[in-house]
Formats: sequence, structure tokens, C-alpha cells
Amino acid sequence: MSKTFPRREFLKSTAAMGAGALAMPAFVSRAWAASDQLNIWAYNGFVTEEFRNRFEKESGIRLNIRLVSDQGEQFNLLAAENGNFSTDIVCCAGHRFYQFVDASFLEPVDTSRLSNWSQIETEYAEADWVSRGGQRWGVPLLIASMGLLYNTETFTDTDSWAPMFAEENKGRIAYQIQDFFPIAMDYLGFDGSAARYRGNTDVAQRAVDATRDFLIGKKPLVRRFYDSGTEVQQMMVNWDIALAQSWSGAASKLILDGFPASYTIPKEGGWAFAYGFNIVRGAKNLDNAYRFLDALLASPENGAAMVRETGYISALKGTEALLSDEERKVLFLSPEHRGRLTWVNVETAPFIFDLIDKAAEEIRAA
Amino acid sequence: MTRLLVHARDFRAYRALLELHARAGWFRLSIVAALPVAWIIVANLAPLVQMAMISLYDRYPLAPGTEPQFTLRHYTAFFGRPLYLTAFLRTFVFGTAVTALTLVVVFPIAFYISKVAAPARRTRLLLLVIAPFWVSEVIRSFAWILMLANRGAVNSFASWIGLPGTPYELLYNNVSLTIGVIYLTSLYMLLPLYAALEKIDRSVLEAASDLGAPGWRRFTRIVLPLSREGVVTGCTLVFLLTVGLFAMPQLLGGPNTTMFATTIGQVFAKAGDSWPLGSAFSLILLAAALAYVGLFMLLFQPRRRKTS
Repeated sequence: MSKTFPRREFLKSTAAMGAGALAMPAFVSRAWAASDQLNIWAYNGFVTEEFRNRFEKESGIRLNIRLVSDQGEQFNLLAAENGNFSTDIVCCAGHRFYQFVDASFLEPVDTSRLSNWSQIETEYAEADWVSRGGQRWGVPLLIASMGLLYNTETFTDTDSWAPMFAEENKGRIAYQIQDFFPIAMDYLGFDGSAARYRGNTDVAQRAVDATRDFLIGKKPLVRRFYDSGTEVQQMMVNWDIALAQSWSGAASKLILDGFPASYTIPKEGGWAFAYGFNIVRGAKNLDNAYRFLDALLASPENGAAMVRETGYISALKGTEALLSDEERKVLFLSPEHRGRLTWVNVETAPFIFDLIDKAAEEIRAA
Repeated sequence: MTRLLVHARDFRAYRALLELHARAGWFRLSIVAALPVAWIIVANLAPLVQMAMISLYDRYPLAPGTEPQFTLRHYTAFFGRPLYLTAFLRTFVFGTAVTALTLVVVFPIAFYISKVAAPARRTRLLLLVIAPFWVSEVIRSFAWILMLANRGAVNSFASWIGLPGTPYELLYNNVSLTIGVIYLTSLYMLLPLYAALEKIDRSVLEAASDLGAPGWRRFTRIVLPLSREGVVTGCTLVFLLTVGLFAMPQLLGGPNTTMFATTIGQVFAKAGDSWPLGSAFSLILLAAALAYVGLFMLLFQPRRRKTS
């Protein structure tokens, strides 16, 4: 038996669909601004499943989480939305948040609305990478470092970046160009933080060009330029590489999973930065955003859960005590290695990263 | 609604419209074509026009309260930096090589399905070849990573049978990328080839065989000329797909296989106001690819004979 679709029904359905499509922006916009909702863009593991369920149950606020992969993705999405943002909270890295502030994407954080603000380690709560123009622009959550990850079955202990440029390691090396670039600058005797070049673009450009040419010359040694932490883990597990510049989170997770690897901050130095949650300008669910952030800061248990999910160190007080000995051993650096870390200079970051981003494109294209 | 249409007949203009509809073929055609044409304009041309406009801005996204300034500097940047030109030329060389390889790999398969296999089995064979394309490009790329990694299936097998020098570096280089791209684009070569080969009259091949033409001569004098249209269409599709690939070169390529589309992707992915540069590069790639394909078609597309 065949079922026919009368023309009148067709016209009615088409008209209804057309009207629905025309009205869609209004529905979507209302959904963004619903009083029992909160829209978050976050990296994987930054809002743990356990916290999400508990928060939604206790507050009645539904969390709409969109997983993001990097700062550029969030920046471009916000730029495309042109002020009518579909999210309330984004997740900026400390050394990149200035771009979001300068582009007027963020709302200053009113710490008086966060009763648990004092739960953040003072060192991080007062850091210059959450402040700009006398205002705080984010809630610091996780602390990351950039160091050297190596396979301990292939390498004996190494305390230098030199193996990353050695001919005998050809085809066993990987790095993320933008993040490795300041490390290579330091290795070559330039200043990766650009503090020395403040206001002197020509000198900084020459340092960047020299480093770019050095890295292009060493390109045949590199197995792969990667973009995300999971890629470096996957290459290590497949034994495609044995050495990599890595973020501490990806390295810690790999080691805790039992892979024969070690993570160190070489003597030439490494870099540290923080991730935090930031409220977007004109957030449609501002009150919910503050409730969410305050709940997140309320307990070191939340910090410990985030540490276990991401492999980064928490900015919350009391988290360390909740971790196992093994986790502490892998996650925390010795005082000597901590002393080798340089925090990204927020004032010079806009200037130097503009040059580095361009050089990175050229290295990739070469 | 019906009552409305009945009342509408009272109006002379409406009656004239109905008359026109009944008599004028072009009017009916324009009604039928309205939706697809509107779709092409909105979905295909509008983003291109928008991109062309952005490529002329000095910066974009614009900071609040600022107006764009127009400039051609993003186009001149392409010619000013030889490193970009390297990736651009690499893309065209790689695209050409992969297209040729895909043709060589897929032609025998298409020939087998269309001319050798029993007609009853053809649909099943086609389905078998098409089946992997039901899975996304990214997942298929990961499957190749598992196959080609240092501890992947291929290296494990090579090591197990005692081949020397294992593991071989099969991943993150031209080897893995070429394999992956041929796998990805083979369907777009297969279908036009199959359609062209299927049309070749079997009796022509049999006659050539009866007259003593060996296999290679039957191929060069009959099969290849008669399937030229399919070859040109398949090559065009595969080449255009290859030069625009982004995800697969990211996943399977290495430091020395960066394609121009990846460079463009990196420009857009950067937090900042560099969309005009990415747009200009995209339009340069589009124009160059279309010109390249146009030249190819001019040289190889069979001319249709005039029938008078």
C-alpha cells in the first residue's frame, strides 16, 4: 500500500518549517539566556563528570559544555559571534588571555561575588596573568609547565634540551612549534620571554628570525609537529617518537598510566602558565556563572578531581594532600626544577607571540 | 487556502499569471530552478564573496568601534614570502602525483567491476568498494595510524617475518600521506571511471580481440580513448579534493609534507586578526587550482563532435 503526501499537507509542512527556521535565532538566543542554564567552553577534563552531576543536582542549573581544543578556536568563535556570544564562560591560558581582554571578549571578575576566592593559592590569585589594567579577568584553576618528555627505555636521564637538536635522534623528536619556540630561543641564548626586547621590535625580530632559521635547519630531525596533548601521548605509546617538548598534563597522564617515560625541566629552562575560567562580556547567564565558579572553588576535592583528569597541578589550596604518593611524585616538580621555570611575561607576550606565530607558520610551510 | 485560490481567479493579474505559467516553458523552468539557484547563491557564492571582501580588509575580526581599511597586502604577502610558495608548490606537485597514482590504482578495479565481473555481482562489488566511505575521514586516518605506527600492524608483521631494519618509518611522511589520500579519494575516481567503462560496448573489445589485437593494444586503442571522459572527470575531482585536504595531512603528514590548505588552516586557527591573510591565501589556492584543472581539461577533455 502506498502512502501519498497531499500537496496541501506538503504546503502546510513547508510553511511551518519555514516559519520555524525564521524563528530559530530567537529560540536559540533564548536558550543561551535561559535562567537555568550555563554555557561553558572548556578543555576536556576541566569540568569533571562528578562535579558536573553534583552541581547540576544541587543548583538546578544545567551545564552546556562545548569541548574546545585551543585558544585560537575560542578566540575565532568569539570573534565570529561579534558580541552576541553563545557562551558564558571560556577557558583561557594565562599567557594568551590578554588577547581576549584586548579584543573586549571578557568581563572583569568581581571577586566579591566569589565567597571562595580565598581558596585559591595566594601566589596564583595575585598573579599578573589574571590581572590587566588593574582588574582581574579570570579564575585560575590549573598550573601547567612545558618541559622535556622522554622514553626512559630509549634515553638515560637527560638534563638538557640538546637531544632535541641532535642528529642521532633524527625521526624520534616531536614538538608544538609555538610553545617550543621560546624554549629554542632560550637555548640559543636569546630571550624567549622578550623581556630584554621590550620596545625594540627590530632586535626581537632578529632573534625570532634566527631561531626560525635554526628550527627550519633542524626540521629534518623532527618526526612531527603536533597540536594537542593526546597526539604526543599517542606518538609515545606507538613508539613513533622518544623525545618531545610536552605540557606537564600530557606527560603526567602518560607516566601515571604506566608508560616508561620521564618528564623534566632541563637546565636551560622551561615555561609555566596557568589555565583559568573567564566570564565573557555581556554573559547572558552571569549569576549562574558566578555560582558555578564559586562552587568549583569551594572544595579541594574539585581541584584533586581536575588534577586526576588533566594531569596539571591545581591552583586550589589543600589539593596536594588529597593526592596519592605516586600522583604527587609524578605531578609535582622538585624545588630545583621549579626554579628553572619562567612564567610567561604577560606584558611582553602580545608583542613576542605575534612574531612567534608568524615564524611558526613559516617553519610549518618550509 | 483553496477558497483563497478560487477567489484569486477573480483577479485579472492572477489569471494572466496562470496563463503565462501554462504557456511559457521558461517560466516553469525558472520556478523549478529557483530553489537550487538560490541554494547555490547562498551556500556556494555568498561565502566566497564574503571571503573575497575579508581578504581586502587590513585586519579582521575588527575591534569594536573600528572600520576596515582596504589593502592588497595580504595578496602580496604570498609572493613576498618564499616559504609560503614552497608549501603552495608542494601542494600542486603532491596533488598531481596522487591523482596519477589514484588513477593507476583505481583503473583496474573499475575495469574489473564494469567489464570482467558478472553483471549480477557488480552492485555488490561496488558496495564493497564504497563501504569504507561510510566512515568519516578522521576515523579512517586513525585506522591508518594504527596500521603504520612504529608498533603498528605493518611494522609488527614485518618484524614477525624477520625483515631487517624494522621498524620502518611509515608514518608522518609522504608514504603515509599518499596512502591515506589515495584511500580517501579513490571513490571519486572509481565512480566516473566505472560509468565511462560501463558504456563501452563489449562487442568492440571482442572484435578487436578476434582481429588479433593483444591486450595492451585493446587497452590503448579502445578502452583508454573511450573512457577518457571518465578519466578526466575522476582526475579533476581527485585533484581538487587533494589540494583542499586539511584533516588528513594534519593527522598522517609530517613536518615536510605541509600542504597549503594546512598553512591556511593555521592562519585561521591563530588567535588574532589574521583572517584577511587566510582569505587571500584561500582565494589564491582556489584560483590556481581551477586554472590548473581548466588547463588539464582543455588538453585532455574529449571534444564533442558536431552532428549535422
